[in-house]
Amino acid sequence: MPNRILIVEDDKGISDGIAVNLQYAGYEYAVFGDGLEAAEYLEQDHSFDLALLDIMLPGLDGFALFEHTERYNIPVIYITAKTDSVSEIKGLRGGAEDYIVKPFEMVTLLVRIEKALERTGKLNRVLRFCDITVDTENRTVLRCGAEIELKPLEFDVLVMLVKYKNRTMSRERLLNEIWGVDFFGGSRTVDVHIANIRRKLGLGDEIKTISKTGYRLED
Amino acid sequence: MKLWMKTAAVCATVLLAVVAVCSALLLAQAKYSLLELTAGQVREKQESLKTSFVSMMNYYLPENANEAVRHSMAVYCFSQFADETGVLLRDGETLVSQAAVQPEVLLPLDEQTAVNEQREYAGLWQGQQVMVAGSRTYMQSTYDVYVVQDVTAVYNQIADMTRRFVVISAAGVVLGTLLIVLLVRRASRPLGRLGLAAREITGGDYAKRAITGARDEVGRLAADFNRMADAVQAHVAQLEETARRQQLFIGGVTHEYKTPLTTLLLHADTLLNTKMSDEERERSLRHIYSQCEWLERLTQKLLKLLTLQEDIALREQPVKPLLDAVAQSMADLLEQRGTPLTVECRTDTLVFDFDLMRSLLANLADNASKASQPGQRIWLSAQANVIEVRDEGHGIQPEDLERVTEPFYMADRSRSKKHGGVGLGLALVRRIEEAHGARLELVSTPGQGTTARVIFPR
Repeated sequence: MPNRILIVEDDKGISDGIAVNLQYAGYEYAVFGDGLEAAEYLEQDHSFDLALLDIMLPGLDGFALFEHTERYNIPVIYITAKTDSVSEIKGLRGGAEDYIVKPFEMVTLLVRIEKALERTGKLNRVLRFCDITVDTENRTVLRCGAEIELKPLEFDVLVMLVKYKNRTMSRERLLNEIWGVDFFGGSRTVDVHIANIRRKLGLGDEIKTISKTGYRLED
Repeated sequence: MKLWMKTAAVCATVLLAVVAVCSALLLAQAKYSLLELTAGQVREKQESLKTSFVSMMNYYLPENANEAVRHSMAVYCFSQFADETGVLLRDGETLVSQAAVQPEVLLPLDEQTAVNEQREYAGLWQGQQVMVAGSRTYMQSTYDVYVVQDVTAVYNQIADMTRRFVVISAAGVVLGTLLIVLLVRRASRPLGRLGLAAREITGGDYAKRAITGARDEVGRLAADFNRMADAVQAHVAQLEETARRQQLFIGGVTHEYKTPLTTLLLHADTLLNTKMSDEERERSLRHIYSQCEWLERLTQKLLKLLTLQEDIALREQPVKPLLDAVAQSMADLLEQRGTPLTVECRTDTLVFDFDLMRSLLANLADNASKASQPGQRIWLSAQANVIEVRDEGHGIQPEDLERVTEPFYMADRSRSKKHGGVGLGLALVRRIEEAHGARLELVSTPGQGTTARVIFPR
C-alpha cells in the first residue's frame, strides 16, 4: 500500500508541482491551501504517513497545524521561505522531522520525504512496478512471482529507478547514491549495471535512455 | 616636536635674548655712570686741590722768596690740602707723593699744555686700575698738580655687579622659561583633549564629544568640532538607518521572490525530468507563465519604488483634473469590482507632481476597492490641503495599521494575492508622499472602513 502524504501549501503553483511529482513517485496525497481546512479535514481522516506543511498559511499557520498532526502521530516536514527563521524551525524540530527552504529541488524533497518515512518506520518496504515486486527489506526481486537473482549493486540501481519512476535519474545521481561520492569509476559502470537489469528483468523498453543525462523507468 | 615645545622654545629664546640685551645695556650704562662719577670726583678733587694750593701759595709766598723757601712753602701748602692721592711736581721733579703711581709717566704735562687746563687719564698701572687728573700752573716755577685715584674697587664693584646681573638674569630666564612651558602646556591641553576626542570618534565612538572649556579660540574650535561631530553622528545614524531599511527591503524582496522561484523551479524540473501527460504538461507551463507574470509585476513595482526620487516635477496646479484623471483611470477596474468611486473637489490648487500623485491616489483607491465588497462606495475628495480616499470596507486591524506601509507587508496574504497585490502599494505611496513632503494618515475601524489622508504641507 502506497504511503499517504498531506500537503498544506497556499501557493497553488507549488502544491501542484509537489502533487504531480508525488503522484509519479507512487505516493498518495491530499492537498489543502488553508490551514484551518486542513485541520478540520484531519478530524475525520488522519491516516497520513507524513505531512508537508508550509509555515505562512492562511487560516492556521504551519506551527499551529503541527499540534493537530502531532495528535495523530503524523511526522511533519516544514516547507518555508523564511530562511531567517531556520533556527526557530530547528527549535521546533523537537517534533518536526525535517524542514526544507524555498526554493528547493523536487529530488531533494523526495529524498527527504523518503528519509523521514524511513526514520518513522512508515516507509513502504515493498515497491511494485508492473509485474515486478521489489522488497527492500529482504532485498529480493520477484517477477510474476518468480525470484530473479540480482547483484547487490544492480539491486540498488533497480530500487532507485523504481522509487523515482517516471523521473530521470542522472548517472551522477546514481553514482553518488549507490557507489558513493568516493567512487572513482566512470559513468560507464552505471551503463553496464543498467544493461544487466534490462536483460535480467526484461525491462528493455521500460528503462528509457535519456540522452546525455541518464535513465528513466517509465510505466 | 610638539606644538607646546616649539612655542615654549621660541618664547624662551626670545626671553633670553631680551634679558641678555637689557642686562648688557643696563650694565654698560651702570658702568659708564659709575666711572663717570668717579672721574668727576677725581677731576673735582684735583681742581679743588690745585685751586687751594695755588691760593695758599699766592697768599703766603713772598715775592722774593729764595729757592729753598719756595720749595718748603710748596711742600707745606700742598700738604695742607692733599691726601694720599695728591702728587705735586715742581719743574718736573716730584715734590710730594704718597702714591705708588708715577702720574707724570701716565699723564705727562708739557709746554703745550695750557695753564690750568685739566687733563686726565684712566688705565692700568701695575695691576691697579687708576684714574689720574692733572693740570699745570706757573708760579715762577712750573707746578704739576696730580690726583691719582686707585679705582680698582670701582672696577671690582662693576665686575661684582656684572656677576650678580648674570645670576639674576639667568634665574629670571630659567623661571620665565618654566612659566612659559607651564602656560603653553596649559593652553595646549584643550588641543590634546580635542585630539583625543577626535581619535575616539575615529575609532567609532560617534557619541564622544570634546570638552569646550574656556571661551577662547581653542574653546570655539572645540565647540565647532562638537558641532561637526554632531553632524557626522547624525549622518552616520541616517546612513545606518538607510542601510537597515535597505537590508529589510532586500530581505523582503528576496523573500518575495522565493515563492514564485520555487514554483518555477519545481515545474521546470518536472517538465524536464518527468514523463507527463499533455494535460499535466500544459498545467505546469501555465503555472510557469503565471509566475513569470507575477515576477514581472513585482519587478516593475520595485523599479518604480527604487527610481522614484529621480524625476519629480513639483508645481502648483489645480486639483480637480488630478482627481478626475484618477477616477477615469480606475473606472473600468472599479466597475468590474462593483465598487463605484465618487469624486468631490473643494480645493483649487496644491503643489504636487501630477503623475506621481495620480499613481499614489490610484494605489489608495485600489486598496480601498480591494477592501470593499461589491456595492460599497469609495470616496475620493479634496478639501483645503488634504486629499482623502475613504471606503466602507473591512478596515485594517489596529496591530496591522502601523506596518501596512512597510514594503511587502500584507495583512492578509492569501486575500491580497488573490487580488494580484504584491504588498508594495502602500510602500510606494509612502515614498511618493515623502517626496512631496506630505504626510499619510490612515484612520481605520475594522468592519467599518478606512480613510487614507494625504496631508500636504501648507
